[in-house]
Amino acid sequence: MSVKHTLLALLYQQPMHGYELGKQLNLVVSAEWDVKPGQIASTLTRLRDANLVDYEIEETDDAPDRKVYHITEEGRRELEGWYLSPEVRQYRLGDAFYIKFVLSLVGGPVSPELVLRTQRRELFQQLHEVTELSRQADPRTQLPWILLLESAIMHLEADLRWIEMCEARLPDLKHYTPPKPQPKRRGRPRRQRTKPRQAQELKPVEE
Amino acid sequence: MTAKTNSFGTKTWQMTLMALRYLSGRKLRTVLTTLAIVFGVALIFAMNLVLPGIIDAFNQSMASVTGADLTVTNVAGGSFDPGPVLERIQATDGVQAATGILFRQFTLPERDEGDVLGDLKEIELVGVDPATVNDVSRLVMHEGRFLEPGERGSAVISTSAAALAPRLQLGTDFSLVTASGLQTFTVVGLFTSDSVLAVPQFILTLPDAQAALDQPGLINAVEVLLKPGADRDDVAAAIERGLGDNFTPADNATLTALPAMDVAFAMFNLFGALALFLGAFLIFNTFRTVVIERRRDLGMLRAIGATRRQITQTILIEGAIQGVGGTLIGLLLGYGLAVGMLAAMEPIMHEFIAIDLEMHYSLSAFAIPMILGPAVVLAASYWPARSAGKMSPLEALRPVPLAGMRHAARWSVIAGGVCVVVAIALLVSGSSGAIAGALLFLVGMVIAAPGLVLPAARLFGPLVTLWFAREGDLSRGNVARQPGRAAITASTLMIGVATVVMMAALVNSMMGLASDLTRETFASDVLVVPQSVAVYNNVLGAGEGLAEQIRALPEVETVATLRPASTSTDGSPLAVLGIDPAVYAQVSSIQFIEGDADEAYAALRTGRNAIVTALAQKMLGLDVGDDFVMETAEGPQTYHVVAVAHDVLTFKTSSAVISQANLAADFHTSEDVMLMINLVPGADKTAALADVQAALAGYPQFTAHLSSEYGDDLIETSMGATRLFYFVAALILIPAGLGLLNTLTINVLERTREIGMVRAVGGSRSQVRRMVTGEALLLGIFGAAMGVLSGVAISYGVITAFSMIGWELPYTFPAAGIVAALVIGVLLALSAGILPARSAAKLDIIRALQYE
Amino acid sequence: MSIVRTEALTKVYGVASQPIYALNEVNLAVDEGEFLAIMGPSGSGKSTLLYLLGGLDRPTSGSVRLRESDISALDDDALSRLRRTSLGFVFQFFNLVPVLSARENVAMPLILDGVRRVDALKRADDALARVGLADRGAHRPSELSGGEQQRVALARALVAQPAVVLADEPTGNLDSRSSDEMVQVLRQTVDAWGQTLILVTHDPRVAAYADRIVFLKDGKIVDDNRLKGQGSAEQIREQLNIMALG
Ligand SMILES: Nc1ncnc2c1ncn2[C@@H]1O[C@H](COP(=O)(O)OP(=O)(O)OP(=O)(O)O)[C@@H](O)[C@H]1O
Ligand SMILES: [Mg+2]
Repeated sequence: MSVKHTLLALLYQQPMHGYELGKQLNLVVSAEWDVKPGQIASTLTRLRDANLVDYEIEETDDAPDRKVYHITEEGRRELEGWYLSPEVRQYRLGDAFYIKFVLSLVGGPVSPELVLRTQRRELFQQLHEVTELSRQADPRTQLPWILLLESAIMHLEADLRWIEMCEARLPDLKHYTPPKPQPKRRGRPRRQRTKPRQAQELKPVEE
Repeated sequence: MTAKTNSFGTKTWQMTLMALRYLSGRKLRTVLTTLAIVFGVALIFAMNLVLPGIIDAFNQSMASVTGADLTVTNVAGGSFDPGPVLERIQATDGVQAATGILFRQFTLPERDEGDVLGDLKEIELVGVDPATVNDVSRLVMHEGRFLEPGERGSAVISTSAAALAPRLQLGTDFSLVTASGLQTFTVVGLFTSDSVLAVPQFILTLPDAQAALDQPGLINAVEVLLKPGADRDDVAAAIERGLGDNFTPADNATLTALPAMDVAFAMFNLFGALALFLGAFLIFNTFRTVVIERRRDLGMLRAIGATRRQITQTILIEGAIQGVGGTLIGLLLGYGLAVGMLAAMEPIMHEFIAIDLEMHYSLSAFAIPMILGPAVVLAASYWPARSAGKMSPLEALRPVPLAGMRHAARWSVIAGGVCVVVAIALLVSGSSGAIAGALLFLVGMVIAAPGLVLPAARLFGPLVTLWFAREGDLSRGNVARQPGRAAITASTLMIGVATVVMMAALVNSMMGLASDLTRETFASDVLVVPQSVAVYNNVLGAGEGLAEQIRALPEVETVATLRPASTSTDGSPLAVLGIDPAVYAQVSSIQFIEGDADEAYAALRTGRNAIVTALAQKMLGLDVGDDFVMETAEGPQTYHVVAVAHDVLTFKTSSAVISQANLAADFHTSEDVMLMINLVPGADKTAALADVQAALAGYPQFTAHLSSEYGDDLIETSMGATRLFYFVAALILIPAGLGLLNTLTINVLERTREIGMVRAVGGSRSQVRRMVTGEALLLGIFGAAMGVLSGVAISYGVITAFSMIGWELPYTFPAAGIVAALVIGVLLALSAGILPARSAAKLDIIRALQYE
Repeated sequence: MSIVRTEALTKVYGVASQPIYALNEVNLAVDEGEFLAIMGPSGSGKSTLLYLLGGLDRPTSGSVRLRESDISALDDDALSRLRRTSLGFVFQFFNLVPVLSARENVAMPLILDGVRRVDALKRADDALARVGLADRGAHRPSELSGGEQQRVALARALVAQPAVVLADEPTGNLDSRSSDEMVQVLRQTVDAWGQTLILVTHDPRVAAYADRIVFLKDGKIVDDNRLKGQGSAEQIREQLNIMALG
């Protein structure tokens, strides 16, 4: 997640000083997405170094002077470019549960059914809670939050359906045996080999 | 639950409301189903309005004449010598007074427009003894005076007579037909009759009446007044003991409604029953469909807590609404039908019996259709309603499994086949089960129909495909897919077609026999007949004088006369005809079935011998050589059967032909009701006819005809009567057509979604139309084919049954009728298919696909 | 304290030589005020279980106890009475009688039970108000959207204040929005009135509203999952970061 572009987008609205930026960021995006003030400060510094933002000093009587940041022309361009580049979600093709499940298929102390069931329980528990949160959210004031929850719900749903599917295909999967690892040839091939062995090697597909 | 008061009312009301909504939701079907009921009720109501009128017209003549406590008559209905009888009755305990009367109801001949007798058609002539009658009778004088003892030429008439002949007033002179020609009487008084509709009565002094009816010195009833407090039954028994078996107290002398009439009534009732059966069938069909269609709704109601009974009730309430509604409309339509039938029958009835027909508003006329209509609907909807109640909520919520359908089809063929085989056995055996066999055949066909659908679709399918090409195959598939529904549709048509075939067969057979007989019977040259030939009792005949007069004409060679009487033997009615055995053979040829003609005529001359008709042979079990006892005015007399024979006048009656000598001796009757005249060879027939007509001047009740013309007229008239049967047969076709329309429409409604699908995948409107029409055609052919089979079976059964009661009809195969029935059936099916086919073609695709 | 309990509940379909165990010795207890979801693959016996719980069908063996009385012992009329007084049903399709208005449909169980029509209709109006359809009472089912129809069916299930409401895929035929509305109303009846609710569904989203999810497979309960109350916001935030935004 790009804190950098979030700050640029906020500054695009109006110039703000660092503390204000932190508050706005949490308001607009999500109360739950906690970005530390230190991270904001360091990001701003990097943005200024890249000439994407600049600041003016605002003098106050009772407090130390504040830097009021504004977006630069270069920053605008950068922001535009960001908006116009689609985000691609990273599919967790090798995620932890998948690995657990596949390993349970090849044999282990716990049956794949139980592995699936345990995961399903957790997912439903989460789904239940997220649903509850979403139910309690006020659609008039917390729409972005609701949308975020909805996205979570849908992902949980997808995960659950995937588990459902795995469960349905368990009978087939149980007969699954991982392919035998091909003995990898090391070094130069030997010149002298027995014929039958050669023949075996020539048609691995048929087995 | 709280507030459970009035719970029955609430539930029933809610169910009724729901039923009404369902009914109005499917208006077309509701109308079509209700029409079936309307029709059945209308037919029955009309029958009940009209038939009793006809029966009454026959029975009226036997109504008690005055209003005495008891009327004593001769068991044979004949007249008798008053002396000893009156004495005995007067001597019986409990009898206050008794008086002898002579009465006779007869039809007045046609008269000129301006005659004083006005619109009077049928009157009752009553001869009383003024000296004693007032002790017994309770006549209330309206105007004028009663008759004086010894008075001649005076008459007292009833107000009901005066109502029909307004010019008959005190002091008016009028001419009345009598056995000795026209006689003039003067009105001296009017008495108040029981009702305006009562038979008009003319009361004369006994001697006048005896002269008019050619019964000198005789009476035919004794009216008895009981002592106050005397028990009617006891006195009746005492009188019976005193007089012996010959006489019977109370008006026991029921007139023998002609067996022919009985048969006609039976036929009409058969039609009514068929119409009702058809109606019940349609209702059953509709409700079965309704239950299948509403399976889910009903299941839902069950799921939310409706009991089986409540579900059954909902369907029954719907039936009841349609039953009651249909019955009410049916009553209205029935009234109209009755009016129409009367109008149609009037000329025919008039020709035969000269009786005015009237509607009969009896309680039963209303009660029968009002009870039968709703009852039939309830009975017909009961089974579907119960099966609805039996459905488990789950069956209703899940799709129906169609398994077992073929199984059921096979069983239906087996069960139906067994019925048909039994039916055929019954028919062929010719036993009394012939009618049962006929009906069983019909039932068997109905049962077998679902199983026959597939073979029939295969058999007739190619015919339809010939005409409708590809759509024909679709039609065939549709028919075969729903054998139950197809079977019901075809069965409906079957009943209609069967009726037509049966009618054709019956009429064919009857007409064949009638015309044969007619030609042979009227073998004489000139006929003198009364205006109505069928019921002699209603005819005032002529004394010997007329025959003498005609015999004296130069062109005349022979005059043979017929004299009627009615009696009973062994409790069964029997008509008696007196002939002159010496001459009768020359003018008429009775068909001899058993026995030799010459020997039979010779035997009639010698003693108490009789020729009986085939009907009498069958009904009374009389065979040649048997002796039987007839009740006569002279007490029981034993007659010997010498032959079995009949002619056109007697073949529909249970009659015995005896000599006129015996008739005079035993029945005291010498009144001629028909004269058959043979001319000298070479005489000018037309001139002779004119002479005979001149001789008839004083006898307006008679007309003279050339026999050849008369026979043709008679055949013509009978043809007219059969038209009535065809009319009723056509009436049966109407509900059959409605039934077809109904089922085809429901078919289309049920398949709305499917038709939408056919259209969606590219079927054109005309293809859909041809598909539905092709279906109708296939069903039409199937139904008509079954109808022809059943029709032949039923007609065979009915004719067999007729011959059992003595109507020996030869079975004529109604080939023309079958062709007509087939054509009618197919046309009916096609025309019934037009509307549904059009509405199917017009379906909006989207709406059809959304149809639930 | 369980309001519904089954003991070794078994339902066998088919012929003896080839029995299909739609339910196989199922033991299940549902507490008063509980919102139970039943899930499982197609043909696992969910509907069968629901029908047996609701007295729509009879078990092959075992028993169903509603408030401790064995309903399998009742005859058809008694079962019918039980259904209209103590049970409420919502199905996926064909819930309503098409020729009756919404409020008449809702009043039906009461009327079948002999409540006076006026009273029944008044209570029907109340029930319709509970599902947010106070103003649609006079409409025929065909004039209502699928979601509204299902809510009318729910109102009917609730109108007699039944011990248990049974719903077989009540949202199965609805789009996600109507489905959400429906399940919200369902949840509300549990929260606000303590209604016991047993619901069959294929939709995890719908099941997630329940307090407890029972999984059926081949006629047996394979998992019984009690969902805990609301987790801490902290935890969820973390999870969201992992799951949704990771
Ligand atoms: N009337 C019946 N006759 C025979 N088998 C039946 C009958 N009803 C249900 N079954 C069988 O019982 C099993 C359970 O059916 P049930 O309807 O309870 O499944 P379900 O879990 O509700 O499925 P779905 O999710 O598809 O609705 C299935 O194998 C089904 O084929
Ligand atoms: Mg199911």
